[in-house]
Amino acid sequence: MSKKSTVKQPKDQIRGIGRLFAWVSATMCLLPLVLVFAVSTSEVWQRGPWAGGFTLKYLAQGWQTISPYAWFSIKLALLVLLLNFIIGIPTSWVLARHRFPGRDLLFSLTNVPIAVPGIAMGLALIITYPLLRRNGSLLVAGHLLYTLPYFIGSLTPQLNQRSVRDVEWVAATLGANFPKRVMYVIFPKIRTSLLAATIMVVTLSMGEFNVSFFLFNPQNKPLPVELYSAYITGRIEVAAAITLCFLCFVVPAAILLERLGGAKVGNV
Amino acid sequence: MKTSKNAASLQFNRIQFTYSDGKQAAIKDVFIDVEPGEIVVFVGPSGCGKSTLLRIAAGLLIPQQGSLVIDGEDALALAPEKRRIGWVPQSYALFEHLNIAENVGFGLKMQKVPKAQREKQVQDMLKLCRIEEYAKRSVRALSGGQRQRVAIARALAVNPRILMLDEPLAALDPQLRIAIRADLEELLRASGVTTLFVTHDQSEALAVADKVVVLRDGHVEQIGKPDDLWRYPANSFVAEFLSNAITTKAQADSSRTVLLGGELCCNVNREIKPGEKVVVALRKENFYISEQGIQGRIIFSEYNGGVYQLKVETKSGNVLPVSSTTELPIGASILVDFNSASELSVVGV
Repeated sequence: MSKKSTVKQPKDQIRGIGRLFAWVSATMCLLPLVLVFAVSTSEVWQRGPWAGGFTLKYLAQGWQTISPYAWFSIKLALLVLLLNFIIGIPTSWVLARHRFPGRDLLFSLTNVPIAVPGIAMGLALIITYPLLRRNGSLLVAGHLLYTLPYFIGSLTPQLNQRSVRDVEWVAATLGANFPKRVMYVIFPKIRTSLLAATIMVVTLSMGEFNVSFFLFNPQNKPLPVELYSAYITGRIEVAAAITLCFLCFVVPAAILLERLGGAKVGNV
Repeated sequence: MKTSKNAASLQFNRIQFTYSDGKQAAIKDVFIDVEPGEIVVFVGPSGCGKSTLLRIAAGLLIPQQGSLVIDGEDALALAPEKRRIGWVPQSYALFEHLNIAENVGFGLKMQKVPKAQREKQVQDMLKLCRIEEYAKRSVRALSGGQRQRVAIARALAVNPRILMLDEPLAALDPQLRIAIRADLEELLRASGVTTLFVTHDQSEALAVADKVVVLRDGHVEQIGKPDDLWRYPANSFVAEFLSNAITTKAQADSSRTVLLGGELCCNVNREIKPGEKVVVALRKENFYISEQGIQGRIIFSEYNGGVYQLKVETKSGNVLPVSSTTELPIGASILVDFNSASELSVVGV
């Protein structure tokens, strides 16, 4: 029996360097999370990680502090998401499918809030509509303004794709009216983009601080604003525990939404 | 010609269309008459308006002027879903979230056909298109040819009055194209449905069509049966596009012959006035390499599966297309004669 000869693969240095960079980047991103976990579960962090022993008391304390604000932030994010659907889907459709004078200008205008700093946007809104702050609708408007460009920006290119237009046209010639085309053909085709946009809106709204800081009132205080208060007033172990609780909300929500859609975010 | 009981007539009547972001009209004053059961092929170079015409007929684009009549009915007043037209785009646009049977049955479901009847019609259509064994498969698992069949089955399942195929063979590799073209033609003839077929491939147009419409820059250059267009092209463009002919000027020698470059006497396909200058289309079957004839120099040679396609420039500057079974070097001098059994097409005076 002849001996199998193995072909020596040439070294791919670029690939190796790329892999190294990927690992370094991932470690740099994950390291703070590990530290947050260590700080929030150490009895006395100043003496070193778990030097005084492992404890969950800060987590319990942190959760007690932020839980009302967490539920408020979730409700706010879902309301903002609903408004994004109501306003963003028709706007994306019009921008993607119709050519009319001023279309390009309108598309550029929808992207303006991305370029405006959150603080400036918050300030502008509170100066323009001071009365709306009291009932919380200004906070909703701020979050909507902040998230809508991302929602439209994620959906419009997909709706503009020839493949989406073709399936819709085929469905039309097969007898499907517009609502049926949306339900049976367009929605399944853009599901991944819609999911990506949904995740983006929910996570952006839940984590938004700059706009919220200007627009909140004591009855309507979002989680990131409460986090800020905790950081500047409390001890570091509690602040870290609150951060961990916050991440426990945001990360599983993103994973769950992604799984529900049966596709990876960004795979549009 | 087998005609389906649903097959409809269609008239594009002075249709004009400009895209909203376009400066020039994409379709200019087009008039085309399609008989029930006919296979009409729209052919022309990219951007000539072939696909636009199909989309207008399907109701996906609305023309600014003109009328569209399907079976005597003003079709422009109808939404796409009311026109009963089957449209198969170049991409096939299969519904990837549905399996093959569900794709084929989609139109029937939209038209609220009862489930039992729908299943039977889907089965019949899968059988007609010879894809019944793939019924439950995902469309993602299909080859190009199979995808095309699913798209056609889906369009035919709703008994359309007119079937529209937009470059249905363009996505296939060259070896498959010819085999599937024959299959497709058989399928269309079997269904008997009026068909509009778009292609930019002239051989495909001539092979499949009952009637060919040659388009350029949004207007019709010529409409006719394939053989008529081949033998009597209306102008240089049609001759050059449909048969890769070379067009050149020649002087009429008699009522049925011309002198090419003042030296080679050639038959022509229609009566001309002796002495007048005419434009003729030269095809490779009109000339052959001979022991006598006129001398020329090979300026182009391309191997084309057992035959070399040559272009030979004569002393008078005429370029003649000719075939050779042996390889001849570019620059070589050869003698070329006219094939007296053939005729040059007169394409202009």
